[in-house]
Amino acid sequence: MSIQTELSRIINAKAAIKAAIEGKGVTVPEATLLDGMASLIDSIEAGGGGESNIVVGSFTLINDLTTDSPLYIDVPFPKNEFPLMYCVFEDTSNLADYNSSTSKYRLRNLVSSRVPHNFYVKFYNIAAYNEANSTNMSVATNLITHTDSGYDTGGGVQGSMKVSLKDNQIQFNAVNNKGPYLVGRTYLYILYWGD
Amino acid sequence: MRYYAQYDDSGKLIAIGTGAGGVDITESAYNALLSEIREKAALVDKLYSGEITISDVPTDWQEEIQRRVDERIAAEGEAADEIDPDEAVSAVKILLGMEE
Repeated sequence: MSIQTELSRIINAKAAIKAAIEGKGVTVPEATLLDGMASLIDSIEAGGGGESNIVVGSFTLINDLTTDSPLYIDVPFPKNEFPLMYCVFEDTSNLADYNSSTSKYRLRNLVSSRVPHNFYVKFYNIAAYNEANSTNMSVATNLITHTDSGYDTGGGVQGSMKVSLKDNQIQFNAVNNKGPYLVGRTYLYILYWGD
Repeated sequence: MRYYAQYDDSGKLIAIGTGAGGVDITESAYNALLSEIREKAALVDKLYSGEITISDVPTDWQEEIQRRVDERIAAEGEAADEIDPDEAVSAVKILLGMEE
């Protein structure tokens, strides 16, 4: 290869490195030489500069949750991180497939969010639901709660799930065995954390 | 998208889903399982409500569907014996004339 070809290759590579660094949110001064790029790369913050992280997923139960048979899902949630919000809600796209007479509660949102409150960290939980073939949403009684520690949501409506975050798992436990029955329904969950 | 099957400690399949967790399965396996899960759940609901009889259930599934209906009935019987704390408080208030 000729010297000119090599110079062109190096110039193009430097431009590409500059673009990549700036794509990560770090400005590259025009006068920066190639040997100055390394320190700029070091200044790129881990995780994309304070971006929040999110995990989404779903589950469909083979058998109904009972107080003796919970569901624990391993999630890539960093230790020592506080979740900002997580919620579980039913995918109701199959609403027509279910017998409304035995499935009173069609949608169940359990949301927990971390908010500051008088120098303490509180977790506010809410469970909301709507009945079959209804678009009106109600808040389940006594389920707007807050706790000082842990990431548990309220147990909520009869037979609904208690959602917890523990040991890098999202844990779904039945509050009791009264129903409504959750088997066959697809639930979506979102776990969100970050600055 | 990642599809998974979740097993309990005894190796019994307990859930399927998308995202993190469980053991990898293919999309086609997931869709096949999902279809079967929902179809069985619907049969359980219908048999429980009396909308169908056990003879309306595919032969291969009859034992499982009937068992699940029986478990539901049994669970509701046990639950009926439980006292819901909120209901208990309300009942006490009614007895004491604190509310109608």
